[in-house]
Amino acid sequence: MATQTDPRSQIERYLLRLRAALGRLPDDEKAEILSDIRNHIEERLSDAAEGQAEIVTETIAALGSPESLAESYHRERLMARASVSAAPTALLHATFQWALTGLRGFLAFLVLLLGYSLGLGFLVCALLKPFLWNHVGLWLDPPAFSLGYISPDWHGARELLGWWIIPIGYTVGPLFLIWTTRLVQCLLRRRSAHSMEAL
Amino acid sequence: MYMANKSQPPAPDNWDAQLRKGCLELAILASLWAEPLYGLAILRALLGRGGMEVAEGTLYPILNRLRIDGLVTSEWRDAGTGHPRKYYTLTGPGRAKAREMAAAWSAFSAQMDEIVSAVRTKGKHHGDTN
Repeated sequence: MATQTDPRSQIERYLLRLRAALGRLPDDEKAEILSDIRNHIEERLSDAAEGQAEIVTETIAALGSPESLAESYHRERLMARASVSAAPTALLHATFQWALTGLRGFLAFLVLLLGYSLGLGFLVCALLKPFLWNHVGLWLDPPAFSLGYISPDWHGARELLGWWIIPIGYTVGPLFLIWTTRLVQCLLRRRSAHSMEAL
Repeated sequence: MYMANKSQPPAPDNWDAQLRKGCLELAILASLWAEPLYGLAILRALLGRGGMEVAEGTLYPILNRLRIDGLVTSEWRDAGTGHPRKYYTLTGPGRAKAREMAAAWSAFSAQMDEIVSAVRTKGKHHGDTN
């Protein structure tokens, strides 16, 4: 671009092309990006007392073409979606939001709830067994299995593991929590990859 | 190319640029460790502390990703310059991530130092006579 061009219209033209190149990003994010870049150029301008046209040309050159800048934003967003937090609350929140959008999300949410419930169930059983030894464990009341506390007046159920619930609970419980976390992270990543391909 | 470095021309295979690109996220998180900074101040901090020149078109997309990832938050502040400045602050997970990355970096650079020490100090190989 020629340095003689009016710096203001040069900035506006750059931002217009950037807006177009950002494509189908959410409107609020697009507006945020455009104001980031506008303010960056303004910041550069406020540093220089004179030669505004040169500063704008230099800054725009340093930012790269609007198309390559937009491509960097798209590429970085892909990486953002790829890194899914392992924190249970973050996973629950992300999967719950996904569940609201369709069957796959709902199934992923069920997997997460089931995996976490079983993991915590085994851990809690292992923890409580020494104190409530004849009420806590893994029970079989054909055809159903039940894990956890059972009422003293329920005589139909047979306990399956006895004191073995302690070592097994301390082993299987954490494994369920870890495997469920990894599985749901993997499902969320795959879902993100699919949704980003649509952009 | 991601990074520009005027003092050192990139190696023919662009290895230098790739190496810097890989460390950029840690460098940006580290620059925010002591205080919140706006975009241009981050560029200056990296240049001032480590002599690392980062292309402007590289910084903002990374900051946008760090914000989406919840590692930084951003806030517009009136700086009395006629236009607002967007300050980036490390979040709790951002601090944890920076610590984790810094530890990984230290371990990796110590390993590499050990590995390349032969190249750096002896300057000789078995084929050398003398």
